[in-house]
Amino acid sequence: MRQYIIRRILISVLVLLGVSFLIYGMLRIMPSDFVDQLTAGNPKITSEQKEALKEAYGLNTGILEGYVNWLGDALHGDFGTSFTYRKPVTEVLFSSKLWVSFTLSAIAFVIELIIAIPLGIIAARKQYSKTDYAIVFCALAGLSLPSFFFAAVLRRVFSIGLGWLPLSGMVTAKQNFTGLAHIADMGMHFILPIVVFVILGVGSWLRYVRTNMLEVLNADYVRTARAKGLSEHKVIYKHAFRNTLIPIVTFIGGSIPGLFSGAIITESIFSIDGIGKAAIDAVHTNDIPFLMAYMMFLAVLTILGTLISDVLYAVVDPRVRYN
Amino acid sequence: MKKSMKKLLALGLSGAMVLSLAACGSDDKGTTAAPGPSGDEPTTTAPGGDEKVGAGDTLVVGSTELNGVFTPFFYNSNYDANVIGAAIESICELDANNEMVPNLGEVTQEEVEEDGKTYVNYTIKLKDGIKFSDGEPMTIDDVIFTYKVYCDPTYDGIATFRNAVKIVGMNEYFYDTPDYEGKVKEAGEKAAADIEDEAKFKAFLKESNLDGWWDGELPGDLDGEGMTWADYLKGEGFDPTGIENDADAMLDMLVDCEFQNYRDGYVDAATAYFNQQYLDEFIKGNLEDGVDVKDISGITRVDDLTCVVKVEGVDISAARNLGLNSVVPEHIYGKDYVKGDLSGVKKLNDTPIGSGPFIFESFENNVVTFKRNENYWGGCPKVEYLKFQVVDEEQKKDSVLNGEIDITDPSASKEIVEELDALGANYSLVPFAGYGYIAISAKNVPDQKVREGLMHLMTRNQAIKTYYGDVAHVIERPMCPVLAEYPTDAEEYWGYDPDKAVECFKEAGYETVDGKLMKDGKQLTINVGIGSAATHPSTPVLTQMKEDMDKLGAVLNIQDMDFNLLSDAVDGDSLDMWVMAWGNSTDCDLRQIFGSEYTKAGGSNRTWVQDPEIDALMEEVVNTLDLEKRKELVAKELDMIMSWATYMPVYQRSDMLLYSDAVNMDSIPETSTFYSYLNELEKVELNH
Repeated sequence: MRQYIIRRILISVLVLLGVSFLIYGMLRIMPSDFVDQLTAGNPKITSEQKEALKEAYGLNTGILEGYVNWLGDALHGDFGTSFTYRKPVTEVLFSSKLWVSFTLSAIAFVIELIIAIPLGIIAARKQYSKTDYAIVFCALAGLSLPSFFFAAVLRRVFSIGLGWLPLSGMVTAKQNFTGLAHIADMGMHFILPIVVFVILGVGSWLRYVRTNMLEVLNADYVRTARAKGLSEHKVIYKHAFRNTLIPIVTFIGGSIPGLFSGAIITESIFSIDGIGKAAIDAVHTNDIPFLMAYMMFLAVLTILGTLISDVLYAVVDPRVRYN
Repeated sequence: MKKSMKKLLALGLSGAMVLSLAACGSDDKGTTAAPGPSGDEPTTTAPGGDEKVGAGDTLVVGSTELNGVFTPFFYNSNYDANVIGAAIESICELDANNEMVPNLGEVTQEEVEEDGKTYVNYTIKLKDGIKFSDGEPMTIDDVIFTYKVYCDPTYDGIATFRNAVKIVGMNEYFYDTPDYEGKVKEAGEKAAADIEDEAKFKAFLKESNLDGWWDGELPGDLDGEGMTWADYLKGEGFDPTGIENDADAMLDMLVDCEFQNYRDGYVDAATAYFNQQYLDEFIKGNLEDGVDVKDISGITRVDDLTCVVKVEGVDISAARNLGLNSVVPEHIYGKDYVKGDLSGVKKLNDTPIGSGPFIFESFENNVVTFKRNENYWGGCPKVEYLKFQVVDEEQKKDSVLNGEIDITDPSASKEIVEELDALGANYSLVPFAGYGYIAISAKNVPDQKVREGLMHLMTRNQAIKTYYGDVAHVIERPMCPVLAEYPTDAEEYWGYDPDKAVECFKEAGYETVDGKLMKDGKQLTINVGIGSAATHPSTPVLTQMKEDMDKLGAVLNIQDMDFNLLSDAVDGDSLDMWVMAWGNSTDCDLRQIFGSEYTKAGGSNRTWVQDPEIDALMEEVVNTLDLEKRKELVAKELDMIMSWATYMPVYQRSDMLLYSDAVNMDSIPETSTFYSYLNELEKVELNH
């Protein structure tokens, strides 16, 4: 096992190198750059100043040279300064932005599981019944909703119509809340975004649980359990569900990195200062140092995530052996 | 395993519950006084415990984005600039009519002649008794410090101060070379010598990819009709057999070819290149051996509140460039500053400190919080807290109507104006400091008559009226109409007239063959680029044009492009025609847009207007201090630019400021392009 993990980590380093080069190359190939964008439409900027700025931002090099520079600095722990925020990218990346996004996604994630697991089990137990159809229909409907549309509907009803919840933002700027009141205020602002996350995300989990449960329910040992005369409750929750957990746990392990990536659309429309919004802004402004750090961070997490889920697989399922 | 799983679940659950409970709690205590379905504004009161400040004491301004770069030196978004303005003020400001008026101090000027050269001495005098928010008095040293930061050799922000004002001694300071003129001369001499050196000349050709001609692509297409690099070389008497697919060898042979046959054509470019290399060599790195030039010689400190800045030549925008600068406290921003190291200044990027009406407190959760500066020299601000909150463009209107935000700037459209009028909401519409235009490249469409024909096919009124209603209007000259110099009586120059267009095309030598407008066997084909065509106000102009050109047997290719691609294409001179807009045009200096020298790569004159007469006029305009005289010159200059048939000014749109019911409208000043509540933040009041 240890050998397996070490080998995987070594391969991961190579993968990361390749990924970083690909991302850097693609970012540099994008038409126009940060300086062009900043100076577009401004007749007062001279070409000399533009050139000087490009040099200052390291945009006057070739792609390969730029990449080698970036890699050299990155290996020394220096990921550069964000063009937009004018701060070291590591500071921007690991700021409150990341934790705001993570908190939102994590809460939504937990709620999704809480809803999806029981409903998935019920749907599987009563396959092809009206309950099953109703649950699957709702899951699919949520899955198919565009987030901006669903958010607009929620807002129309709960903010503009009923006036229960704030329209957007993270705090009520009109007030100067502190302590608990401040946390409560933030909570109010997060309700709608979390509802959007949950409704849109719960469907895929639900279908996953249902499918796995169905598979297990048809297994021989479940029939044996029933034949032994065990109560249905015991059969479902002790024998069937525990086996369903195996794929679910590995799937959850693999999903953890996704919690850090932020949600571009939802964060934008609710004006939440999260990492997803920052990332899409960076794409628009060609903030290369920030994008590089952000994507490399996600790449590392993804690789770690798959590694963890593979290891978890071996932990929860004794039959799995890596050599 | 089972237990930890449960624990995890329980933890998540309880977390979610705490959150939702807490949320309910705040609801119970009454953030809302249950607004009825009639659409009553929810009246907000602080929930228990924290009633220190009532809602009436906080003014909330909505911003599309906040990057947190709150320093006058390095910000790059207007929303950040607004935040900075609450804490940091400038020496002078613009009034509603775009005139510069005193604020922290005043700028006066005096022309002097020295050694046959004209200089202008600008005297900057601060008001007595102004203090920064930390209680320290403001002195002229703070002003000089601010100038020096903009002129620092390592300055990497987008402010144009250093190049915009020709302060005496600026180059010596910037390059840290006491004998700047001498170095320039030496570089020139060395460059002239290098030109005669064959090896160096060839090295230049190779290094510069034949002055940008060689694109490294094989086989290449030089004339748009399939002429390859190899064909070209054969035509010049070289034999590229065997190296058709070897880019390096091909470039080497091309270098030989160009050197042998067209050396003279490259001399100018080569001289500039060598010159720059020597300059870089002489001038760069001068700081590494210590600071040689400590001060800008043209700036003289007179007393604690006064300095004189000596500027070369007469330039109408110099006073503005000097006077509209922010003043930051040197004892804070300059604490660790030495020339060539701005890291100390950058440390204060996220905390603006100055003499303004508000004192910066924090930037968190997408909200910037300011508290009022009770000792503000212009009187204690009316509201206790000022906040800037990020709000998505789409939510601006609803946020104001909902009372979450007090003032913001939704993009003005016909629809929003109608809706706000119906609701009786307060808003101001002010002309945007810029304009939209359709440009034709005189480089790619060299025939003046063809360009004139195209101009006669543009019909603007209907398109702009339909799109904008009263929120924008058609303009007739390529200059921002809010400027005092704009010729308000200018009439339509070309005018929509398909018959005249046909005449023009005929005069250009085009004839109708088989229903096609042809010349030398080629159909008249124009490629035009436009960004986001689906929602662009100028799209109908192009579609009408396309229809008319179809009828005439000509082709208009409308290319809907991403803005980045469009600006790349424009910069690379690859389009015949394009649709874009200028912003930030607050003075009548048009040299960079229409000056001959700005046709070089990276310059802003992408329509390739090259006319010595226009150049001279534009130069005269910026050297003419008398407004009436300047107006005349500008009118003449603009007519001449129009006569080139490269620029069709289309529209000037308006910006909107929307105010919530909470804002006391009597405390909002008369708003124009140059002046708004942001200039008088201390006076803004809220209804109680």
